[in-house]
Amino acid sequence: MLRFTLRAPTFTRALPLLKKYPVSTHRSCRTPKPTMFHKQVSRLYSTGSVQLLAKILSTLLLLRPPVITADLPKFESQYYNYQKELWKRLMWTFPKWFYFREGTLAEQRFRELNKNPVHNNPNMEFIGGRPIIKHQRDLRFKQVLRLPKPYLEGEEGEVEGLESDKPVVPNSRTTPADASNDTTSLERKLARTLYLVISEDQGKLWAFPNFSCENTPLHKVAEEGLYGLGGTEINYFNVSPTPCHVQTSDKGKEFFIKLRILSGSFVAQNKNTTFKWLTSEELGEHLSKNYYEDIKHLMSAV
Amino acid sequence: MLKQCLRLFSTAGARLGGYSTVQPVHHLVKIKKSALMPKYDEVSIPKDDIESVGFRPTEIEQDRVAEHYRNSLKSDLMLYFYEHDAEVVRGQKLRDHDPTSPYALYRHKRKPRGFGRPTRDVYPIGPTNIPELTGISLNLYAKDAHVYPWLNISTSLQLAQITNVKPKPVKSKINDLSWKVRMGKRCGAKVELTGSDMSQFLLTLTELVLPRIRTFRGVPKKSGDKFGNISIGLDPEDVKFFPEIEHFQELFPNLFGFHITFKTSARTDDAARVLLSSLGLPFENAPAM
Repeated sequence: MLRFTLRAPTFTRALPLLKKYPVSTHRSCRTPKPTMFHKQVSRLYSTGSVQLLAKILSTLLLLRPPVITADLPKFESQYYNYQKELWKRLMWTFPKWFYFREGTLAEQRFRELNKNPVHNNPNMEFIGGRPIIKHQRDLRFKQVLRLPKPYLEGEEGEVEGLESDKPVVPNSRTTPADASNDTTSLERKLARTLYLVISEDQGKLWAFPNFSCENTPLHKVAEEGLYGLGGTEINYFNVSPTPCHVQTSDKGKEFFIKLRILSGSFVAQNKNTTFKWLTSEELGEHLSKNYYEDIKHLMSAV
Repeated sequence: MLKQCLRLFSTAGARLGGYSTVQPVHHLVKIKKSALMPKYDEVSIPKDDIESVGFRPTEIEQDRVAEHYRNSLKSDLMLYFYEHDAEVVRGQKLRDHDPTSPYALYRHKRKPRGFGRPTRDVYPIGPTNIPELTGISLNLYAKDAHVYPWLNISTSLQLAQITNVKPKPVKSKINDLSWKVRMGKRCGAKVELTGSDMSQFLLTLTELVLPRIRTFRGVPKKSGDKFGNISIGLDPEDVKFFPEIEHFQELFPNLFGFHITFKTSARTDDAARVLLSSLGLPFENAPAM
């Protein structure tokens, strides 16, 4: 059975069906029923109230999902390794009579590469234990197979440079961006979810991009604001027009709109704007402590 | 004298003239005594116990589909399906007859509206009912196996080769001599996939097989059983794109098409389509990227 190298499903394919919905027919754009929130808002609009209306902000939670599988802790990788070795030892004997028919050239080469185990001679004493032979396999150990090179028509002898001859070398899990700790690169920390934060004062204060809303839907504001901040070379996917969190602060009410970056890159349009792609732990170091405690549950642990 | 003394000690005296109130249970349960021999004790150990003779490790490597679902998809799906003030949408249920009619007293209930089967209630989305892929079942029906029974070996072998799981035989349920169908005869094989086998099959299908089928335009929009299970069919010529079969084509002279059903915990087909689409399965008539 062939097994393939581990790789997280490419995020460009995530949720392709949902990507662009006609906004006018989406359920969020239907006339909503009057709710407690609406009642409160309409009360705020009434002339009797002195209280000022809280400012509504749309905060952009732009994330890059993991590209490769998660980094395993040492214990977990050892556990998987142990289970895999156990699995190999308990595996059925390779049916060589099916894959290498008797009398064929391939079978002859297979026999040359895979020698039979030691015969269980009843007249002999075995120091390491008596072998249990079934179908020319010692059942006490895992079966290690060496396969002959495939025979190609019209070519004689050993063929150099065949693709199947080369050992499979997986790509590195770390990138040049990791080596140089380039926090503006989307290719850093491939196994982690990265979040975009920006700073307007040369890196003193970091925050998620947020935009004030004036009679425009929250998700529209966030999407247009993203293009304004980072250029139009971004292919994004809006998970939902529904905000995933609301944060009340001095500035007003921040509604978090969740977007995923599918391809392209964020190129700061304004000279003063600096940006970083950070993991959830790094966000804790860049955002203020109270703010981070409030929004920590939105971040992916991986 | 001695007998009288002994009788004082016996408890039977209290029951003199009475009868046992305990019902006899012997001969009610049939027991194959040969199966109770101590040498069969190890058969009764569950197979996920390492002491069992049939033990097979299941968590042998990282499951990247499950990991992707857990880390990235789950929260997004909940957000996507969230609706403000959502209420329970009641499904179509069996209906009562006219209660005033005496003729309807012991009648069976009427069929529900719609397509004639009761449908399930759809609850508002929450952390406990996010749609999830629970299993994939492959069902291979070989029509020719009624005439050539040896094809049953090929059908089982093909499914085992593709899925790495031992298939179960499929037997015909009806007698129809014009189709040469006889009840109880084997006519194919089926496999139920869960866990890492399911993830591996899904990856092979979406990354290696479906992209190479020229006629494939995505999972048909009409597919689905209204209960959150989506099915597709593969033709015999599509099956050769599975890498496990592609490299040994001379060993598989007879290839068979089969049906693949993606079983999800979604309550509706639309929700199931969203889930499968996010797991990388392309759909017909999907909006352009």
